[in-house]
Amino acid sequence: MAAAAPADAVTNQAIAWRRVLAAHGVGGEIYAEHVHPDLREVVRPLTHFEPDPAAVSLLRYSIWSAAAERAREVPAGRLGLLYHNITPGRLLAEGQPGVAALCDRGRRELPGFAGRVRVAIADSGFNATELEAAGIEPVTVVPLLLDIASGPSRGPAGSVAPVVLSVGRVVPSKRLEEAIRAVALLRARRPEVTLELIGSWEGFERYRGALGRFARHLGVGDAVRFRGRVSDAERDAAYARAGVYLCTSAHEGFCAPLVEAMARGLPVVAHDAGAVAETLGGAGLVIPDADPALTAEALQAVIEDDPLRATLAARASRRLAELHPSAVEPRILAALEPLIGAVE
Amino acid sequence: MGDAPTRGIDVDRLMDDLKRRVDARRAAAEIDPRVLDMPFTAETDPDAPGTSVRLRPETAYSSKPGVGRAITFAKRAQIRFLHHFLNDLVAQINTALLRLDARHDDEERERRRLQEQVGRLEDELAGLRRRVAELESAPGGTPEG
Repeated sequence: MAAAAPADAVTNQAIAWRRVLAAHGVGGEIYAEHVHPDLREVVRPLTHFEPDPAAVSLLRYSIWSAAAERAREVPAGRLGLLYHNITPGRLLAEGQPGVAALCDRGRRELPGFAGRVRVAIADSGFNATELEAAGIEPVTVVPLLLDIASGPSRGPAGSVAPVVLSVGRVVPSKRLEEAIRAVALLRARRPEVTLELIGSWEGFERYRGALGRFARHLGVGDAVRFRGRVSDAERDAAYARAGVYLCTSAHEGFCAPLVEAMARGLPVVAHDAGAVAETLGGAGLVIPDADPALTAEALQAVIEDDPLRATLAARASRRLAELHPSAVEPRILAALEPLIGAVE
Repeated sequence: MGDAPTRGIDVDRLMDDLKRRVDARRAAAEIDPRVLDMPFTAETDPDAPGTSVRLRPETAYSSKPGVGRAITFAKRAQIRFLHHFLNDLVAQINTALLRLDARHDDEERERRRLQEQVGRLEDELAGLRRRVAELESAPGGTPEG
């Protein structure tokens, strides 16, 4: 894969999949072009990768990288492709033109894998559609393997904290300005409502600065908290403290925080983009056309309406059962079976 | 998760209802158009508070007669040579500024909270003083400790 970093969704998936495979007697190594120092014990640098004729390789594809280049050296029958989707470059170009260019190249190069991979896996139907459009078929959908830990049950409206939470990198594709706008609208009716944003803005400092200015211009500067990157314990505390989860992203190939929020009993309001509605599976309020006024109305409904929260919680329970590791692990093994079978 | 009912409310119908509520608020001018229409730009606004640091290679310039062009060229070549290093430095400074900004926001929030608390305590104290004064002015009344 391209890069291994702490709290990175693709890295976490690679580690989780290796654990599942190891439990079923399939060994393996994870290689990445860029390896964060904290992960050097877990992930090997790509420079150590040599295609082994007695092994198979799985490329985790989320951006163009040297890993994708090296995957081309792997014989066709020995290569699998796992597509996490790629953020369109235009959504990142303002902050990171170099990364945006690699994203666009990743999308352009995707058809080059058609006919070269023994298995193609996508972590959502949305991502599968993009693979199929690139001529890569058949595609197996396997949702992200997430640690679904149940959170505390939520109380009646009187006890719902007026805190709106959003978790994820502070990058332009997340459209966090629309979260700020929606909260500004809601505060006209519920002035106690605040917005908490958790996630790193490293490399996107200018975007983060602009968000702060935007909040101040809207008169909600003191109602928006930028927490930056936090520990898992701090993130879980934020989930427990919040009253509603908000996702305003313009592009998501799966969106793991939606599942984290559902698993912690937090109702979700999300803009309809990419795989968001699919990941929620009906267990959230999905806002069409990124309408900020409707977003504010939905947030208010979730905060104030007990039966609505109970309904969303019931739907979340059903969706979480489908995404539980006990349901996903067999799908991983089944999807990889043709590839693993190539060396047995 | 909490105890959930097996039959819940119709979320699709609710969304339609929410849309109607938004339309009604718009019709009643309850939605601030300034908030709806405020443009967002990630471009650096040099006059904005909390703005970020940026490299300004255009300031590497010399107008000395005769040698100005050569000095300008040398300065800009040095900047190009150190481009990645300087950009990293700028990114670090901006991150530090943003952290300070966030800390300032947190402190400001805490200051307001404490100010409100002090205000409430002062109101409470004034009420107690009034109560003491009433008891003291009552015929034959002396407050018991």
